[in-house]
Amino acid sequence: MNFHLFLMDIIPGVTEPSAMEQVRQAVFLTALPAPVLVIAGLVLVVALLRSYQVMKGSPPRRLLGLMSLRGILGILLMILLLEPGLIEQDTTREADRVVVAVDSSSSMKEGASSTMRRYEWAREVGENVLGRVSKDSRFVGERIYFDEDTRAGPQRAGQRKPVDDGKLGRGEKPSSNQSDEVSPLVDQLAGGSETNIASAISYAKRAGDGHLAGLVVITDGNDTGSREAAEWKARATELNAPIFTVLTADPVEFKDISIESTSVDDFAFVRNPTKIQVTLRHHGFSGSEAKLTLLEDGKTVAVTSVGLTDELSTVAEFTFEPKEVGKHIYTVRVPVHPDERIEDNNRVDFAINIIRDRIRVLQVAGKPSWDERFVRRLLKQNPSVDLISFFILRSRSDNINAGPGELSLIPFPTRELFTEELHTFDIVILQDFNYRAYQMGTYLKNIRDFVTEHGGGLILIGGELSFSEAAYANTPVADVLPVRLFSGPGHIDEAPFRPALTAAGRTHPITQLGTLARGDNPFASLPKLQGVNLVESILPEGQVLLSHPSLRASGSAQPVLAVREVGKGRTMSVFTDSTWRWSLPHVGEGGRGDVHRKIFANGLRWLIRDPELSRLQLTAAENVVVSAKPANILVQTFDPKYRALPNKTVKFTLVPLDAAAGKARQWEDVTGSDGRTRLYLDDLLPGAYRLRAVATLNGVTARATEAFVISKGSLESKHLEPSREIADILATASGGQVVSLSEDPEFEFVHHDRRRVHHQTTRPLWDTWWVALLLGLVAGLEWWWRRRSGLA
Amino acid sequence: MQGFPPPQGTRRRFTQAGLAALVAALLDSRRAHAFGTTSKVTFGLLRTGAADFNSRPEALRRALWETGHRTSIDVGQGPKILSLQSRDLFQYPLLVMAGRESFSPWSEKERQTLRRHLQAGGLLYIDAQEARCGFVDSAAREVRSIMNAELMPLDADHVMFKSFYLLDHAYGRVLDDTTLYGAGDGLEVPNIIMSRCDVLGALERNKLGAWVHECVPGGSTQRERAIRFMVNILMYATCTDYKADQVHIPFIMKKRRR
Repeated sequence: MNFHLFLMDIIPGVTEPSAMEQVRQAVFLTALPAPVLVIAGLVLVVALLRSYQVMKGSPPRRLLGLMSLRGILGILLMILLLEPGLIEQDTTREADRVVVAVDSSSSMKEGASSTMRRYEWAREVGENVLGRVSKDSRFVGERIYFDEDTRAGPQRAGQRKPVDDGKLGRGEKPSSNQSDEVSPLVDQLAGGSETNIASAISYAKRAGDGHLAGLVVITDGNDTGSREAAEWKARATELNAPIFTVLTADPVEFKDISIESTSVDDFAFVRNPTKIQVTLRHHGFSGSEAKLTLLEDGKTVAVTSVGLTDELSTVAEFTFEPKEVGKHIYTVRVPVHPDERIEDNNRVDFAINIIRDRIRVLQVAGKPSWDERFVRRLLKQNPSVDLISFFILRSRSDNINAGPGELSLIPFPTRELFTEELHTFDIVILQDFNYRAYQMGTYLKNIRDFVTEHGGGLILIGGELSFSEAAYANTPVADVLPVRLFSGPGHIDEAPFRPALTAAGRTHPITQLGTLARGDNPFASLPKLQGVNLVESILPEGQVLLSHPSLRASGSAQPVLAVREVGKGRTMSVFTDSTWRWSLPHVGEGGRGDVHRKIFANGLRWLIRDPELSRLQLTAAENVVVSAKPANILVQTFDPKYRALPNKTVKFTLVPLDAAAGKARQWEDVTGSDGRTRLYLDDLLPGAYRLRAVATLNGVTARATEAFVISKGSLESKHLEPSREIADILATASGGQVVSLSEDPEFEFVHHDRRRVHHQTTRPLWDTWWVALLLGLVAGLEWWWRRRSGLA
Repeated sequence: MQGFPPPQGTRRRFTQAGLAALVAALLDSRRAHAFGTTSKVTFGLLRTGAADFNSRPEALRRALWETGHRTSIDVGQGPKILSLQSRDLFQYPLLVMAGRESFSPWSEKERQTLRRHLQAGGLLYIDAQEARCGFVDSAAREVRSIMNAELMPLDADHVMFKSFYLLDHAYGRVLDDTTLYGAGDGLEVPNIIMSRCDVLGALERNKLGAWVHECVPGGSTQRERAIRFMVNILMYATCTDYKADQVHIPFIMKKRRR
């Protein structure tokens, strides 16, 4: 082994990098392992000490002379063991790499001075650094470019047109910061959609030959990643070379407030408090207050304010309750201050799909009955239903024969239910319920508004306490029913009957029985119903799905099941209290007894406008589309059995939810043979849009909506403020430096002084005649003196 | 010969009850507009195969009358006697079987019929006249065959004891076993319930309106409890576990603490 105990330059000095240098190194050439050498050394020391013990009483002159000779003898023996030698090498000195990384992200288009853009300035600084490096033979310079990734040249992946930044400053007219005009070359060169300083560090570490003497990052510091300080520190340490950051803009002079990010899931539950956290980045506004507004489809739903401190970012929070199911576009806005550098980053748009966790149903029944039992049972068994029931168990005339403390009855909380809590439900069922007995007349307006204004669903189920019998005529509830009621009681017919499926009922989702259906009128094979609430007439807005086989209402068949869309909501009216007979009695007749459950399950889904029930569907490929790309929308049409329905004309209306995004536009398209077509909506101004579609499918009007956002640009383009936060971390961790525009720094690159060996000669120094002669002379002299002194 | 003891206060109670019913009928005009017979709540009394399946012929009628006058349930006429082969069996969501004597095992077809009835939303109430008798064993055997489960005791806070009146256990003519048993669909909402204290015996009256059986040991108070228990059964039959809904629990707990 070459056991290097010391290493020295025999010929120091700096020469040209390519000049050959001769280096000599004195080394021990022994092949003995280190422990053996240590043991041998110890044995010699012990032998010397032992001989000293023996000769301790001798005259001083003799003691000194003999011990010196023995010491020299020991050293010579150790030399023989260590085998000293000389290595002669012909070497050349290696130049260390200095990497200059130029930020080419789009934020570098911003002005760095009155005449130059950040990128132009960065290019110039880079040239300057590389020029200085080229004059020092110890270093060799490299230039790299980074934005979302890092590369050796300015050509960005996917860029077809050749890019040459060498033209900058040579005939290319510089950009002016006095206007927003950016020279085409700078626009082309600084076009990255992100700033990824970490990728530049990784690239510098692994690319190129030779050791890294230093990394010079020329950037505005506006990294668009979300790395923590610890990660930056680790990356800088791993590089094992100083990082010098040259900031192309001064953070102190930059004034801006921007919405950096929003923290919210892409779905939320309707009528549940939903939180949105908004992170603001701000420069130059400490001590002031920012007022944030949250808009849903262009309408304000929440406002909040936060105080801005010296910190670079502040978190604000909105809490709101989404009122309607479906995809909605939410916008967070911060007013633009006159001193702000960038206006576009004061707004962010995003989509949230508002869904139901479960369908909240309020069932109010006027009395316990078989119909009430079976409706409650099917609602309780439906896993998507969250049921709250209130049943009137006794009337004032009932003689309970017990004190209040002996009853389980609770007060009927009419005020809480129909004022404070009504909006928390999706559907209200009034089942054979006489509102007058509970002084509820004043709350009927709330029920109507619940349907028309809040998009709620209402089911009115018949019986002797319902419809005209309970004087619902001319009340606010009557305003949302599909029929006109008689104004007084006594309008019921008790005869058993089997309802008939109407033309509307054949295609309506509520009366789609699927595999339960048999024949054209599956209801004809079900047990007879008994008793029907009569109505004066059917309103034009109403749709009768099941009708009485013989009774008439102003010329039309008496309805048994009818529906209506009114305002934002929907209502369903069942004019009998005997539909339970489609369950247990149907089983007695050999049926499955599922029709009752199916009708109500369909009804609930239709009332809440379950999008899956729509036979016309729109699906946006992306909720947020960058403005350069078209919005891609898939359109599908289905038949009543949800099979593809081909060649259907669909009418579209695109409604901008921002006034700035222009006017609504309308057009038509036709689905293909697979019942599909794709819309590519381009040339849209940035903003939020709602696309509405309507088509007539098998005689039934089907509607669908979709929402999306055209975004003005990438995150990079919205966060242009310079930052030295990351630069400071990198400098501290790597032993580098942060310099600004006004400084003219001398970078202290690390020179590793590595050499490449071209030729090497090894010469042993111990196996010469004079070493053997010296050993013999010293040993002989010691023997002679010892014998002369009379020692053994 | 030891006969039945005379009914207590029968004439006065009968007169009071009759007047109350008349006044209620006059005041409550809603009952003037019945909405068909099928929607009215009533019992279907099952022929078990034993001779005493209808040994309390007036009790169920009385239960309906009491329920109709104490609650807003719109009750129908007296019970319909049904066999497990009856075409009308599935028109009656609430079936009752009662007795003391054992009965022969039902056929597999009969068991299958009752199983379908219960699975489609029906309810079976079993009233045994004694805690230990042949009827209890026979009924348990049939429940085991139909539901593939044993009748299990229901807790004192089960919804059956608070569906209308607050009770602490089952009440009937006797109180040897006041436990209520249930099976099927989970014990929260059983579709078979069984009492072993002759509830129908406590409600049985003769043609003249006199109580037929003395309630022991509690007398008229015990009878009133038995009536309340029967009302609770009808309320459970129509409202199922409504009183177990979360909204009711604080109120009921408060009342029970008093």
